[in-house]
Amino acid sequence: MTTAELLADDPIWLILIKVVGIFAFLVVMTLFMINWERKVVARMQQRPGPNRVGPNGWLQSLADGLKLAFKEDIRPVLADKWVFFLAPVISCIPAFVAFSVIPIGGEVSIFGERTALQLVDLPVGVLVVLACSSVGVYGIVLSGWASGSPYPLLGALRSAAQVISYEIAMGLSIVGVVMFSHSMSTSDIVKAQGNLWFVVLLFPSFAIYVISMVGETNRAPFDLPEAESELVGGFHTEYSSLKFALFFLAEYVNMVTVSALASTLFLGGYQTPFGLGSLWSGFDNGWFGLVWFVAKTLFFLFVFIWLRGTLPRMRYDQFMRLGWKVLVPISLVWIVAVALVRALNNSGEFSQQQFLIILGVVLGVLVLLSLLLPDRKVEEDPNAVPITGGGFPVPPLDLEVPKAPTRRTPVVANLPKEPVAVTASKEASDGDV
Amino acid sequence: MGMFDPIKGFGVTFSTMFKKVVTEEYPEVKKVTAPRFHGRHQLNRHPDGLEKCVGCELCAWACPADAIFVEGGDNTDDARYSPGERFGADYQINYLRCIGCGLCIEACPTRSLTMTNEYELADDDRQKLIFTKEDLLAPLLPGMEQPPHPMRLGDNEQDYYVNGPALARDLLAGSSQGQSNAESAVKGAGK
Amino acid sequence: MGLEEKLPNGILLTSVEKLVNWTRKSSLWPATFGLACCAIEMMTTGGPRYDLARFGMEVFRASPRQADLMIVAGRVTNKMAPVLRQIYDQMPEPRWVLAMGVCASTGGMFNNYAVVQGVDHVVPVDMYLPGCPPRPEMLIDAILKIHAKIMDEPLGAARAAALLESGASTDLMPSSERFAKKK
Repeated sequence: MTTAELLADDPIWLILIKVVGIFAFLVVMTLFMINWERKVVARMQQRPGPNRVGPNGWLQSLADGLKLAFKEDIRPVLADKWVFFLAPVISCIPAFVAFSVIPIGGEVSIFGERTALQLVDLPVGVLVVLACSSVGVYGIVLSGWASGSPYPLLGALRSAAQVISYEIAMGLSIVGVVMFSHSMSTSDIVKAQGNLWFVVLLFPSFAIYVISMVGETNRAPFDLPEAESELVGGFHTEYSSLKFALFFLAEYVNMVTVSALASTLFLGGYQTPFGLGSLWSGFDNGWFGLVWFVAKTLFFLFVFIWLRGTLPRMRYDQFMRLGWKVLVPISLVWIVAVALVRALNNSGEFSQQQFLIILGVVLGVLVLLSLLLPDRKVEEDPNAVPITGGGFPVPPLDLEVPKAPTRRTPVVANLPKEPVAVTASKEASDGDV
Repeated sequence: MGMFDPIKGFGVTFSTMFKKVVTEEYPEVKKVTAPRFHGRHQLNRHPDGLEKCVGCELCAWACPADAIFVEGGDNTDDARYSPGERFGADYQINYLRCIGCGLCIEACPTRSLTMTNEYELADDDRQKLIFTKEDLLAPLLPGMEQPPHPMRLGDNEQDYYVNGPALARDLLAGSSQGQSNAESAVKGAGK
Repeated sequence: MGLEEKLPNGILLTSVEKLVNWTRKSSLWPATFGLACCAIEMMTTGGPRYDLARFGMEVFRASPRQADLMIVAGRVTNKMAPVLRQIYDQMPEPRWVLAMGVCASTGGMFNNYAVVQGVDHVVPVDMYLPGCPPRPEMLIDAILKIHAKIMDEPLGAARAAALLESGASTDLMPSSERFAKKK
C-alpha cells in the first residue's frame, strides 16, 4: 500500500493525535534549538553558554518564552492596528503547516490502526512546502510595513527580496530530485532513495539546496535584514512580548521545516543509513525511522549553527548576486546535465559500465580543471609605497624632495615707500612695562 | 590551496568545540586579583589601634576626580585618635566619583591610605556609596584597642614613626607566643 | 502581554510571583547602550573569559522594544541625554537600568558643563556600579544584585503596598559570598 492509501482511511481521532503530535514536536524542537544554538555557538567560542537556568542551562529557552509573555505589549501609535497584530500570526502559521507533508516515520500501527507517520500525503507534497514558505514572506513584509517606522520597513523589504530570490534556487534544486524520483510526493521521494540517497547522486543539487535553505530562513551568513548596526532589528524592531516570541517561533520552525525537507529529499528521510540495516532488523521498524529522521534533521540544524558561528555576515548586494548570478545558473546547467545523463542512460545505447566510465572521466576532467585554475593574482601597483623594514611602509632612503617649481613672475611685496611713523602710535610700543 | 581556505575556517570552529572552556565561573569561583590591584580604600591603624591618618588632606588635594573629603580635627589628651596633633575627623570617599587611580595612596605621607583587593561595591543608592571613615577604617586586629585612647607604644609620635618598624617586628615576634605576650611586649617596648 | 496585571488580586500567590520573577531574572536581555570605555569592559564581560551568556544575557538586543535591562556604560553628554531618555521610554515594562561606571553614576571625574552628572538625572536607576572602568567581575556582581532585586519585586499593586509597609529591602551582599559553595 502506498502511503496515500494508508493515510486515506485515518479516523478523526488519529488525525488529531498526529496534529497535536506535530505541533508539540515543533514547539519542543524550537525550545531545544534556541538553547542548543546558544550552547553550540558558545562552545565554538570556547565558553560554556547558558548553564545556570535549570539543569545545565536547559530551561533557558523556557524562561525566555515565559519572560516574553510577561512583558508589556507595545503597539506604536503609527502602527496599523490589525495588520500589526496579524503579521506574526501570518508568519507563524505557514511554518507549522509546511511540516504536515513531511514523512517522519515509516509504516506503524497506532492503537490498532495501520498508518504512516505523516499527517498528509499529497501528490504535490514538495510544492506545499514551497508554497507555505512563500506565504510566510507575507508575514515579514506586513510586519515591516505595519510597524510604521523606517527601519522595519527597510528590513522587511530586504528580507522579502532575499527570501523570494532563494526560493527560486531552492525550487530548481528540487527539480533534480523530482526527476529521479518521478513524483513530487514526499513519501515517494523517500521510498525512491531506497538504494542510494540523492545526496550522492545529486550532490550539486544538495549543495545548492543547503545554501538556499540558509538564505530562505534569514540565517547567518545571510541575516543582513536582522543586522543590528544596519537596521536595528529589521522587521521585528517594533515588536515586544508575545508577538516577538511568535516571530522567534516562526523563524525556528522554518529552520526545522527546511532541515526536515533536506533530510527527506536528500538524506533518505526516515530510512536507515545503508550498511546499518544489516546490523539489526529493528532499525527498519517504522518507529525507529522517527529516530533516524530526527537525527538527520538535527544534523542539518547543527550545520545551521555551525554556519552562524563561523561565517561573517554577507553584504546585501553580495548575497543577492550569489542567489541570482551563481545559484540559479548553476542549477539550470545542472538540471540540463542531469536530464541529458538520464536520457542517455535510458536510451540504452551505452551499457551500464561504459556509461559509468564516461561519467567518471567527465567528472575527473572537471575536477582537474578546477584544481589547475590559477589563483587570482594580486595586481602590483607600480605607484604603491614599498613596504620595507619591519612591515611598515617607509619612504625610500634615496628620496629627494622635489624643488618647488619656479614662478613665472616674481612676487614683489607691496610695501609703502616711506616707513610709517610708528613711534607716535600707542600700539607700536609695548608700554614700557 | 586557496580554494579550501573557507573550509579550514569551519574546521577551526568545529575543533574549538572540543577544547576546554576558558571561562572563570564567577561568582562561584572568585579569582584572586593582582597584589597591587586598585580596589576599595582602607585607612590603616598603628599596632596599638590608633589611626594612622593625620588629617593632612593631601589625598583630597591629589584626587583628580575630587572624590575625597577630609576634615582634620585636633587630638586632645582625653580624646586621642592618632599619634600627634591632628587626626582625620571627617573622612569620606565617594565611590561613584573615585576612578581608582591611586594618586591618593601615593600622596599619603603616613601610609594610612592603601587599597585593598575588594571590588564588589555595587549598590542601589548613591548615598550608600559614599564611604565614611567607619566604612573605610581597617578592622581591629588582635592587640589593637579602639580609639580614642592615649598613646600606648610610646610618649610622642616620634616613637610611632621612627621606632614603628622595630615595634612592628617585635609585635610580630611577640604574637607568635600568644596574644597576652604581644600586649606586654607592646607596652614594655616603648619604655 | 502583561498577563499578571489582568489577574485578580485574590489568586496572586507567592509562588506565581516567584515564578514570574524567576523568568524575568533568568532571561534579562540587555539593551546596547555602550557609550565609552565602560562599553569595552561590557564587551569583555560578554566574551569567553567572563561569560555573560551563562546567565542567559548574551543576547544584546539592538531594539529597545525587546530589551529588559539598559546598561548605561560610559559618560552621557548633554547632547546624548535626550537620546538616552527616548531609548528608555521605548523599553517595555518591566525594565531596569544599571549605571555602569562612575561616569554614568555621577559624572565621574568629568565634573563639567558637557557631561550629565549621573544618568539618574535622566532615567531612574536601579543599580550603581563604581569603577573606572569596573572589572568584568564587578559588572557581573552588579547584575547578580539586580537579579536579587528582581526576585523580590512585588507582583501587582496590593503586594507592592504591602512591601512598602513592611519596609523590607533586598540584601545586597557581594555575589561571591552569596554564591559561595556551602561548606
